[in-house]
Amino acid sequence: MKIQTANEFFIKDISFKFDLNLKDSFYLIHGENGSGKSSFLRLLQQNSKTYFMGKKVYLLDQKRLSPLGAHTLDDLLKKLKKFEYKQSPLFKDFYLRIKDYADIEITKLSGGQNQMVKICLMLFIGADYYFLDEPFQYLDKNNSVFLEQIIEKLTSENNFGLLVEHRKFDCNHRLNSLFVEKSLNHIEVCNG
Amino acid sequence: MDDVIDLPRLLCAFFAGAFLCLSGSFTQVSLRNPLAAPSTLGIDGLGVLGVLICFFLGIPSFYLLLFLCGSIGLVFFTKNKTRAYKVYYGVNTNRIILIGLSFNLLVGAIFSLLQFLMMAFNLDFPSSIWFGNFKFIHSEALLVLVLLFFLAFSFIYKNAEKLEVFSFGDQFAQNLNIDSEQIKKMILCIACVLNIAVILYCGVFSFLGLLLPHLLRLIPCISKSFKLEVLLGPIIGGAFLMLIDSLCYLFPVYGAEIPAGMIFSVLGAIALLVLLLKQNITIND
Repeated sequence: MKIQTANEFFIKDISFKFDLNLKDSFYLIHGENGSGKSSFLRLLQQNSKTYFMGKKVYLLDQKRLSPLGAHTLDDLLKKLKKFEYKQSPLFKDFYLRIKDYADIEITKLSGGQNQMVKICLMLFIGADYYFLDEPFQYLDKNNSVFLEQIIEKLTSENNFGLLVEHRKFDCNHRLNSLFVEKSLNHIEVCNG
Repeated sequence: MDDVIDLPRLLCAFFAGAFLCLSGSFTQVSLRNPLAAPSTLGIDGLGVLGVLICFFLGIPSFYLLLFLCGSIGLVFFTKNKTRAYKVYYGVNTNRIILIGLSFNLLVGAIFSLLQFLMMAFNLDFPSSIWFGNFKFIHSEALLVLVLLFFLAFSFIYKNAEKLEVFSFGDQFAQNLNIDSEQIKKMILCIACVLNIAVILYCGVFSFLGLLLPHLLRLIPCISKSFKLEVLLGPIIGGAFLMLIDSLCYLFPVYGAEIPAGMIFSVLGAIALLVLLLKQNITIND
């Protein structure tokens, strides 16, 4: 496996092993800026074409959701019903929290609201494995606490997941750690 | 001048409008930038360069179109990624637009220089190509445009739902098991080929590809559905250009017909300025 930009390799010839049988198999990915954490997530998803080890993957990336046209969250949810989705049980609670701006054009939402809409869509589409790339970005304190609870519930649902996050993450469940080091071009997986 | 306009001319105007509208929608959605259009990405310049090559080497437009289709396909689909591919995928969209506009200016300057030299030596030159019109349209052009229209439309009809989801975001579509990269390459290729075909046979309609998608999005049902934009948009865009060309034909100024492309050069440039000055415009890289 390798990740390449125009001029250099981010990650080259790596091997890693995830234990999918562990009850808490959410991995927190650490590493310095530019070490390739986000690229690593994209690589895993692109190589597996939405299915990772036979299970459906959802990658929540860092980019702002910017549909072309005047779409609202409700419009998108209506349209997504035509596609294959497995709504998470956490979706309804999440939707109720952001109902106030579910009928506002997505391009007119603030950064935090846009991030909440992205997470809501993720829970609507649902997946077996979640890859979350800095999901707390732009969120205020209340929404961050709410999202922490959502992630905690996701881990307790026995889902495998990868989470890139810089801030201190308080989770009652044990999170495994995964280090990405730029200089050594390797990834180390540590349990506990 | 007859009072009745030719049917082939009307049809060519319709197809040209449809292609430019589609090219605009495709470039804007694939680059996620409302300023992206064939005129701002340098595709117009590429087409004019093609016309000049055809003219000086005496190559029929159809062969050049085939050659360009092949080249564009190679640029986007080969595994060994070319520099042009990296330019399109490796830099931010605003830079691509600046590169595109600069390329158009360069081709415009070469065109003017050649025009001056050819006129100085009293030689023929395809001056009218810079402002598109349908005065000298011939059956081969109509045939190629009809063929391309059905090919493009069958692609859109088959992939309408995928295109709708792709318009929400690359990664978002990927999460729904849609190969965003493949869709992006396909629609960029289609946009290039359709726009170059219009330039080779009818001339340049500057900024029409930029203007039409924005006008379409003023219609509420289209603004909420990219699927409708690419299914209905070409028909509305085609009808719009057909109408403008008919007006140009029916209302000549001092006996001379104003090329429709000249009108759009002015209107489109104003539209680009308005878009740039509009404060709430969202440009996403």
